[in-house]
Amino acid sequence: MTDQATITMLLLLGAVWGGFLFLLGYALRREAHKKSEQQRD
Amino acid sequence: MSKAETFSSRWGMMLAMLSMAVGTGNIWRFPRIVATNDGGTFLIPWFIFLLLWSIPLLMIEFTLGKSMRAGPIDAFGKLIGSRFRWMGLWVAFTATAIMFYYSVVTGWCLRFLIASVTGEIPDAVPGTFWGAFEGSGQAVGTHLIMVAAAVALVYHGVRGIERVARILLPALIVLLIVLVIRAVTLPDAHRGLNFLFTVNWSDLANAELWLQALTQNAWDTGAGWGLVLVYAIYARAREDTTLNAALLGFGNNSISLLAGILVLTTIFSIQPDAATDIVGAGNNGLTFIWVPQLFAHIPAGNVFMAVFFLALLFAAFTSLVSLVELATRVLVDRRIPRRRAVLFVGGAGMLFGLPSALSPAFFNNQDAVWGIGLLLSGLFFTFAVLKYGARRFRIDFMSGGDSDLRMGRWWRYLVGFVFLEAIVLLLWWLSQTLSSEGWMQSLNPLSEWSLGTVLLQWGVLLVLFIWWNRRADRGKII
Repeated sequence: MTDQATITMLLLLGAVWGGFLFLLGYALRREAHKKSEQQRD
Repeated sequence: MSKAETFSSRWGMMLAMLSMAVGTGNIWRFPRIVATNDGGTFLIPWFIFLLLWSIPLLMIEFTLGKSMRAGPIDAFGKLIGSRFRWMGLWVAFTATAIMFYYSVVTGWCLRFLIASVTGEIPDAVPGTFWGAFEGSGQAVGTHLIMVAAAVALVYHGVRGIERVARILLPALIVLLIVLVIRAVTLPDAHRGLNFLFTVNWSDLANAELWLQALTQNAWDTGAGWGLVLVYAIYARAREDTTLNAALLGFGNNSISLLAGILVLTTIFSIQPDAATDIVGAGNNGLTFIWVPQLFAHIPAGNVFMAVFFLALLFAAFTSLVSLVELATRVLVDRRIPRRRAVLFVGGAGMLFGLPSALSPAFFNNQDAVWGIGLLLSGLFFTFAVLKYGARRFRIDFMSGGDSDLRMGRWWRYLVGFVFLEAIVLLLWWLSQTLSSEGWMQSLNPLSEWSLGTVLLQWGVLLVLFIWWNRRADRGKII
């Protein structure tokens, strides 16, 4: 692969797949937090 | 709303929504559109419109569905007044009109899965099998089977949809990953990756590229279709909307990228000289003519071809289910018992899908008319939020304690921008069509594809919908 294509691939996959994984991780943490709050109530 | 009428958990709901969003638009349309729009250059506006079109619309739909607990017609009515219910009817009808021919596409996937298992494809001459199948009695048969299967699932309610999504979506992702691993390990696969990820910066000035990027986002995320709105009706009472919408958009486009890598590395590895012909063959040509030819050149190609069509069938079927659910919900909101409504939608789907199953010209006409109709649906959603007040919408419905992602003041500018995008895009599409084909040709309403046929079908239905709205407001009809 050319250098330009490699860099673009890493940036785009990082943005889309990385963005998805970041949001998924955040959603998992929020859900766990909500569950623990519910149990406390 | 009883527990049986809500999704069992956030993840059950997200799987159902993602299985709705991931369809043939991701697996066959995305790779083709990327390839015909300069490869990597296209991916930049495509990512920008994920943020500036798809996710804001998904947030609006998600919030409306959960807050109003009604299908598109009554959701519009509750938000901005009953005299605007015709806009919701437009959204619902557009998705239902797509359902009428989408079941035909799903049937094609079923037939090609069977053919790849039995060894009927690939045959010696590319396109022979497809040519004999398209528009035949067999295409009608597979269309009827797929409508019946979707109806059987929706008949059992939202928990049935969730149960199937929990199996089919992970299976689809696993199948795609298996195929991608095979594709990127083919000889010269890097040529496909080079094409997919090389950016020609000067081409970003091309307006057509941006239009294609936006319409592709509308197609593959399902933003503005009303489907997320309908699934969000069944969200749990304290469910988040904003983060879920963003997660849905990013998840969907992640799968599009997987499909892009799969198809383009395979094409550039096996038939690099025919790459232009292959991607220029249209959605159907690429999938049903060239994919079998490509897999024929791979060791154990029949196995991978069957895996490809199985993945495609899963993607198409789960999207078809959501379209059937939307049409059913509209009838349920009109106080028709759910099970009777599902059967009615199934009967209508079988009947009104027949012309598309039998006639490729009719199929293409409907695909064009209602595909572009989605732009108008997106416009109506943003209009509704602006009419209600974007700031008020955010405070009333998006900023509660259940929200995992707080929207700032910029929300109103974002909604305004999406509204402008839809208007500019519609005007640009009108001017392009008129200038490229001339007034007489463009306005011919009987052509398979023309501005005239789009405007005639839109116009007739919009008049009917507004007339219905006025009669319904006076209590003369429901």
